[in-house]
Parts: sequence; C-alpha cells; structure tokens
Amino acid sequence: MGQIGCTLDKSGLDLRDLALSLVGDDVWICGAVWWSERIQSGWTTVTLRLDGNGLSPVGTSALPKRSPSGLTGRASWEARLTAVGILLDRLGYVVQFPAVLQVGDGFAVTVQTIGTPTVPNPGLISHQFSAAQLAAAHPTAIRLGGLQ
Amino acid sequence: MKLFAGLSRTDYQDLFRAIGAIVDEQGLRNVRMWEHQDGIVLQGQSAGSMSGDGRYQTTLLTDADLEEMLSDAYQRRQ
Repeated sequence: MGQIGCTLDKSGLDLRDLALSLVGDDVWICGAVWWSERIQSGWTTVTLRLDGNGLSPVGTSALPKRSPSGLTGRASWEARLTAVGILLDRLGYVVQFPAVLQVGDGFAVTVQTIGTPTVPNPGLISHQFSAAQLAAAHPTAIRLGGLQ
Repeated sequence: MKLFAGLSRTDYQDLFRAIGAIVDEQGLRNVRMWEHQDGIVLQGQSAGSMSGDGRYQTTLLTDADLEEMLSDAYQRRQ
C-alpha cells in the first residue's frame, strides 16, 4: 500500500475517491478527476494500472478528451477564472470593467467601482489574488486541480 | 459591457467560468482580459507559439456573445 501511495503522489495526478482492486496480478486504481471543456465540465472516473513503478491508463478511450487539471497538475482556467469571479462578486461593492492579468499562479485584477453608500467615490481599485486565495474561494475544483 | 448595468450585484463567477472554458478549449496561456463598454477582450498566447514570441491572439466577446455564454452556463447548471 505504501508503494501505491508513493506512486500516486509521484504521478502528480489529483485524484479523489480512490478505489483499489486486484485484477489478476495487477493493481488497478479507480479515482475521480476534475476536467473541463467548453461544453461541459465535471468529475469523471479514470482507471489506472500500477505498471512497474508507474501508472498507465486503462481504457484510454474512456478518458475525457481533455483533462487539463488532472494531467497538467494545474487547475483549469475554468476553475481559476471562476474563483476570480467569485472573489469579485464577494468584494462587497459592485464593480465594473475588470482587467485581469495572470501573475504566476494568481491574478492581478483592477476594477472600477461605481459608487455605493460604503464606497462612495468611483475609482480604480487593484487586487492581487494569490493561488491560495483562489483555492479558498473555489476549493473543490482548484484543490484537485493542483493549485495547492 | 452592459450585462450587469443597473444590477445590485454582479455575476462575474459564471461569466469568468464560461470564458475560462474557452481558454481551456483553445489551450491559451499567459492570458489577460479586460472589460470595456462593448464586451470583454480576451488575449492569450496559443499553445503552439514559442514562449516569449509575443504573439497573442485577441478575441472580442461582445455583450451578445457573453449573454449567450451565460445562458448556456445556466442551462448546464440545471
């Protein structure tokens, strides 16, 4: 079991809800991974076979066409930009005209306030959203996408 | 962009989610985007371009495009 755990850790795949099974002499590992594409996104199940010291997919045709979060070790843009949107929506005052720049694993965002009772003067405000803040805002998708 | 004009709250979450899906689909990196009066400009380097060559592809997402994307996003959520 220890070897399986080490192999999974080394693989960089962000799997959850793991199930292990013995198929003949092989160890098969089933798990869920987050994936996204334009049409839809969500969790999908992948099956891997412990192959020597590595992992090989079982039934490749059943894998999603693209799995950026699972295969690159980084959360998808969909997940990360969703987190940016969540943070903007939660600022506590209405903003407009956001400019979003990627800075490392985070983003620098400049927004214009429109003037509210709590923020009476319209103006530009800049925020830096770190990878940790993004992960906190949208923990499930981003944690499993590899930002943490 | 006028989608949220006059509203007491914004929904950048769903909007950015939809845009992120496009970025994923096109395999863009070094992404930047900004909103202006007529929509959102999205820029990014395509996956095939060499690092640092400065070639960004630019897409203007109009209010109509964004409204359709949001509608699709809401329908997928149901």
